[in-house]
Amino acid sequence: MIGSIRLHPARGLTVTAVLVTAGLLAVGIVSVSSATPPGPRMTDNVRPSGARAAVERFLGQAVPGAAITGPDRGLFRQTYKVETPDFTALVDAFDGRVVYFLNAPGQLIHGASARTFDPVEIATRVLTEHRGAMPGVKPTVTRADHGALQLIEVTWQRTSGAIRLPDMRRVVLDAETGAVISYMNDQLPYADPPTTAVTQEQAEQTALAACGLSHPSVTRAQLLVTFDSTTGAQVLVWRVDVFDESVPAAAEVEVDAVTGVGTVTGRG
Amino acid sequence: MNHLPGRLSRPSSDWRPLLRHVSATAIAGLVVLSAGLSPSVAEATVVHSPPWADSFGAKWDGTNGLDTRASALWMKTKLGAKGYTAYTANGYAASTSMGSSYAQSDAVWAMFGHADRGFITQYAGSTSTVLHAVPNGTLYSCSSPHACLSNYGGGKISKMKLMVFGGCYTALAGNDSLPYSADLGIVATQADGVSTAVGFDSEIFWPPMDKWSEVFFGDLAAGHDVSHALILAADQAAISNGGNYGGTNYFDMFGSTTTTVVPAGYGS
Repeated sequence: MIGSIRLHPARGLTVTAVLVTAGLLAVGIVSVSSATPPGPRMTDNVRPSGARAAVERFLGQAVPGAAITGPDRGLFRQTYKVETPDFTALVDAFDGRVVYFLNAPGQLIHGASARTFDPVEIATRVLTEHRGAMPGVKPTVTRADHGALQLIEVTWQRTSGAIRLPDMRRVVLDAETGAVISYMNDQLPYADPPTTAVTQEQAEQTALAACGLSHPSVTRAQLLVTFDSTTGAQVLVWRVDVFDESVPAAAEVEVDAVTGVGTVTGRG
Repeated sequence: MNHLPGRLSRPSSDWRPLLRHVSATAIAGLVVLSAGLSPSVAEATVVHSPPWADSFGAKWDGTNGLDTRASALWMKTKLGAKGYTAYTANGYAASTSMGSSYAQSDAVWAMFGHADRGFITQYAGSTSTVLHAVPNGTLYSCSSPHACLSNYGGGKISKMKLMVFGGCYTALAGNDSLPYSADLGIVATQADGVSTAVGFDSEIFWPPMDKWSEVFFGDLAAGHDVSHALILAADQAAISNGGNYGGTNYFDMFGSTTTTVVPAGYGS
């Protein structure tokens, strides 16, 4: 049981039985009427049993002892947490998709290929096994230095020119062994973004003026499609981070890349 | 300088601050006497049963003020349910946070606030008070209301399992040309004997940090180790915030990667 529910980098997962029938799926997913949600995906369509079924489909086997909590309300989606001592999974409460899977450290696989593994090969296999592949998108490999914890992140990020789109996959590996730590399939439905009318330089100037800090400087800026946290409407923004060493304080400002309006969305 | 802000407004049923205020010194003396320890050991962590856990947050004045109190509250909520005598301190001075009634009695300690390389601040009495990694001599002092982490060696906080510095760049050492050089996490784990310390090597932003704190302390309370909790907290913060990590993925860990905090107890 324990071994077979891992995201195994070498052996992969084999679906040996159809554990989740169409009938079970139908039982797990219901239509729920609620007050007008702030976004198109905030409706809780999935029951806890549906979240469990989603994880069982993901793994190809039953998880009878799993604890299920939620849904937990985020900005643009709600998620159920499905958890056993061996893994933690997050399931989108709107469509029943597994958006995240984390292996418990004690269940990590230390394969014989340690120190000679190919992170892209392992991560690609994990994505393919879980129907998360992104054909046409080239992965990037990043060493994530967390001090005493060293990881390798293999990321597929869909873009449109310089615009980051809300469609990303990531597989994280132990940097020493190649063991699969986590899997993320983070995607939200979006329309083709509009033409950018605001340059990065203009956006940075707007952010510096809007942040409310006395001596700010820009630390990073990124053009991306996201959603309005109040209405759920799609927006194209420059997300600009600034830092003021004199306080010290940080601010995150989103500048609408069409209208040029800046809004402080985070403080630190 | 009020070292005990907010205590008069606490619910009468909350006995713990009173215990701390009145008898922490007496308890420390009793522990030393009953154990027959030498004077040099008298400065060791004051061990309580149940063990203590403290988190520090603040709301800075002004329309652009940062508010970290919710992040601090999550530690109390999650660890208080797992056998700790957990307390959330809002608007306390840095020196108070390191005192015998707080850090020197704690198994778990967390602070959320404005920060930069080598220091983190708390807003107390309309003043930003600073916890430096090391003494600096010129820019700030180590005297109340400020404090220097390196002054708490000699066993004073060595039974602390986990110390969290929830602020921008807290995982980085100060510029050596500035008075606040050295790294909070390194001082905590290597000089002061704390089992594990956590900081960040980039800007971090609220509100994503509130979700980070909820998930981090929740996962620790569920029995996972600090590595698992850090990975899950960052990823779930991103999923909850439409793919925006808010800097939480720039966590750094110092000391042991396998520290757990349940069952409730002190470190060795």
